[in-house]
Amino acid sequence: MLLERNEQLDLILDNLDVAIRGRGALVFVGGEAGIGKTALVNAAVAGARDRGIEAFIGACDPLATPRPLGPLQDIAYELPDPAIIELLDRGPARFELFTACLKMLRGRPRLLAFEDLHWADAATLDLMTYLGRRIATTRVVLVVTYRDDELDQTHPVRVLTGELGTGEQVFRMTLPPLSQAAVTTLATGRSIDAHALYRLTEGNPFFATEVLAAGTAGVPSAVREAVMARAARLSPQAREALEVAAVAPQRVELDLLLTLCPDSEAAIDECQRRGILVADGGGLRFRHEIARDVIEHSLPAAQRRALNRRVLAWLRERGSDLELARAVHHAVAGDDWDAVLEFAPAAAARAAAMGAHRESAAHYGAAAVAAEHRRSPSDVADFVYRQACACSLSDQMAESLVLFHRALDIWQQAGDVRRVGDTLARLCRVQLTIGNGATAREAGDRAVALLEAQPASPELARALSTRAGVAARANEYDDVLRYGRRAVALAEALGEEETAVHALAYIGCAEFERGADPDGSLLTAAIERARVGGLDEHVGRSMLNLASVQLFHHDYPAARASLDAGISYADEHGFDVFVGLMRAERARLALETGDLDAAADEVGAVLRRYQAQDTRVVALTVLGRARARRGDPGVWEALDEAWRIADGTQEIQYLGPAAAARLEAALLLSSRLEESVKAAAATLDLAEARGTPWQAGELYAWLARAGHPEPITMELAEPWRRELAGEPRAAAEAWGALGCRYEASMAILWARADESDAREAVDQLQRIGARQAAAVATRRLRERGIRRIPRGAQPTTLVNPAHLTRRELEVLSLLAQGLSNAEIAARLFVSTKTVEHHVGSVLAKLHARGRVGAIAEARRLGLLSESLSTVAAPNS
Amino acid sequence: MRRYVVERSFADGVGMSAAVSSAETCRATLEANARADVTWIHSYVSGDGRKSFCLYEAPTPEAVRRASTLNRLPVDSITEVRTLDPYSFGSPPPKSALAGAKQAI
Repeated sequence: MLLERNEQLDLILDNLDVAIRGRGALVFVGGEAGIGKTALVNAAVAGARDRGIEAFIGACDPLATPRPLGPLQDIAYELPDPAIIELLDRGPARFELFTACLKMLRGRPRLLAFEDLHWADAATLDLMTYLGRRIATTRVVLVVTYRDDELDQTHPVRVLTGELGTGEQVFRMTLPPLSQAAVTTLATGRSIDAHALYRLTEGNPFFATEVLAAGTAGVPSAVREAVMARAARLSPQAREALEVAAVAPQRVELDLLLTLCPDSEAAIDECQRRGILVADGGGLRFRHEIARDVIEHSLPAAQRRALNRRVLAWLRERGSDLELARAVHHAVAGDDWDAVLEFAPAAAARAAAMGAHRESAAHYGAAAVAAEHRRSPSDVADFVYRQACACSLSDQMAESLVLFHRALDIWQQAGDVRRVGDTLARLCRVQLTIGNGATAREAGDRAVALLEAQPASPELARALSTRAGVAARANEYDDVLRYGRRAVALAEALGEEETAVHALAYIGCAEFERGADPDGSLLTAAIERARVGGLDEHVGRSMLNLASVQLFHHDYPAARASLDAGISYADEHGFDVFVGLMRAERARLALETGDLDAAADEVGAVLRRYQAQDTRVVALTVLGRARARRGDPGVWEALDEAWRIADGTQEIQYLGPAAAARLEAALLLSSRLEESVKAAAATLDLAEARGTPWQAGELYAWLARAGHPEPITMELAEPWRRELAGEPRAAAEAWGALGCRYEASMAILWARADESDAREAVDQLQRIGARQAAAVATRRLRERGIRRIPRGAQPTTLVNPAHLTRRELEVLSLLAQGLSNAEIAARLFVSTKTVEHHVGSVLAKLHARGRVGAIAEARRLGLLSESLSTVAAPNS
Repeated sequence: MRRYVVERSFADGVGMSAAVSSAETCRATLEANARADVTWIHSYVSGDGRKSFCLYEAPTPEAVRRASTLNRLPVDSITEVRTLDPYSFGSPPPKSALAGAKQAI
């Protein structure tokens, strides 16, 4: 009996009717344990089958470490889809796998359900992100259930629903508790007081039905008792079968049950008849996970261990390699160290191949614990080392540091110099990522020194390459070349392609950045070489570096294209850390080109999701500047944290912008001027030492604007040089040519520019929403005696009713002319991805489901008549 | 959650009345707020309806802006605030002070 879920069921089934016509949907179903998510999914499956549509359910398991892509495996085998099965078996072809899934979703209309996403492995979450963004182009309704009551704000599932929440055809529902009326209906004909039942269970259908099923006169005080009371009424044989089923998370094969409890057919029947176990595919499962959990934890430890070992024996006999994670779970729960050592390393390698590095780390962790009981210390160290590497790939930097140090200690005691050196090089990379520049450098130097004293080794090549990376991040170009070239020579001699590509990419970066290789062809060649060699991680990292150098040179069209391409590459290959960094860079690009809305939106999402320090320092600097320019609160909060991180790295790439941002904020907000000037002057010394013309220029200019000009000792980038040479108009033109609207206005306003230029500049600041900057500029102009300053348009006309940005209005008007995304991209000189982004936000802001709706709504609001006349003039 | 006061100007003097003109628009407004993770507590509207001061609970000023965008409401400025009232100073104010306040009204 499904009570009070009609609205939710209708949403799913209505979308199924739309999906048949080629417009799929993703429905997130959240709710506390026992609220009826599975019941809703089952009703939807029945509804789909009534309509003659196939329906399949896959589930994530509460294994200690989940199977990679568990729900997809369930569905692929049930369908069956040979292409996906083959890719799952093959392992490392993650991108092909995701594309194959998308193809499957675009095939026959279906209802698919992924249950219990709160237990999902990282690869499943990535798959959800990938499919979720494209769901509207499929013929499938994908229902995803998760428990929302135990997730904190940063739980990956919450992040996922937040990220996809505004997407096209993505719906989110939370199942509410049953009303008192519904609970009364459930209790009809029972001796239990319906009101008391409602009060006790708070409308949770599982609790309510369990309490009713236990049938005790006095209502049990907790669901645990309800479950146990119910089990107690089973025959001894049925209880034995139930206990066996309870150690197998999620699903138990009939064959397994019968092997462990011979001749228990009648007993299993009894469990099913009593509604405790239900049939599921080729096996059985508890009607609800809560009940399984209660029964499992009621088992005495020795019995639980013995049962787990027997399940493992059964799995081993069946010998399917897809069940590795399951084998590890039972080996660990059965304290069977040899079995853990047999399965965990393979499970870890498999998880890593699928991009589930978090799960890979957990499996190596299990192997390390087992190795302490069975193997030598250096075997333990090897597993710990691997666990640490997997942690560093899944944004668990603190864990990774602790683990590397542990491995280091063991190898130091064993006197294994090569492994000590190698681990130090790894530590160096992690320290770099978390922003400890000085510690990183020290570890890198020690690694090189130790390994140099040994015969030439791949480890030395890696350490040299890592040391080149330290130099690259500090803009020490000579050191990059020195260490990098040695690394390449050694790596090529030893046939270590990965290390060679790694070092070549750093060399390419350095040469591109300092202008020795103006087109970046060395870096592009390194990316190509990594791609050919299948070195996905290096492709991802180098695409990030390419975009960063393009931003460094203020080549925005190139940087935008690189970021769009890099983000989708890293996203598809599961390199979360790179995605975060590139999104932070994309926010910086938006800020620098005067799109404050886009910058703030992107930064908000980045800071919620990513913990890596180098991502946060970029994002926080952008956030602080956007807030200062708009006049929003929280400026210093963002900039102080950015400064703290930047100061730890001692890298000019972070210190330069962070120091300039503080001085800018100090001038715009009239606060903390003295300390900001001091910090900027100190940072300028570093910029001069590194010879970075943009960062030095920015610091010189802000110091001059603050009334503390410094003598210029180096060649500066064109617009800064012009401003400092007293040519504001030339500076503004140079900024304008680059697309930097904010900087162009500021160059004019901080000089004694002529009146009409100044008015135009204030106007431009108003248009991009830099209210505070406009207000400060206006005050400065008044002090100069310039009175007739535009106050900006009147409040209600300043922003159009839907608050579309100028760019979004342009896109909207082109949409109204019936242009495709590709045509709009060509017209506006941006990538198709960027247009998709704008179209998405236009639809969101207009609350429209599709283009036609958006255009109609825009007409209703009078947005099109005005914007068409100005923007689409060439066509009319 | 932090609290923010948002100042808004309405040239036509619509004030908050437009946002809550019907149960339906009010519901839509609250839904959009929820999407942006923002809670509207209450607003003060000037007599001519041209200016409003709205108190929100929100994680960041950006969330407040996003909610305003979704609800098509203009933003003049956003200020983070904390509560200060006669009871903020540890002990209840003397009766005479309250009496004085009453008279002033």
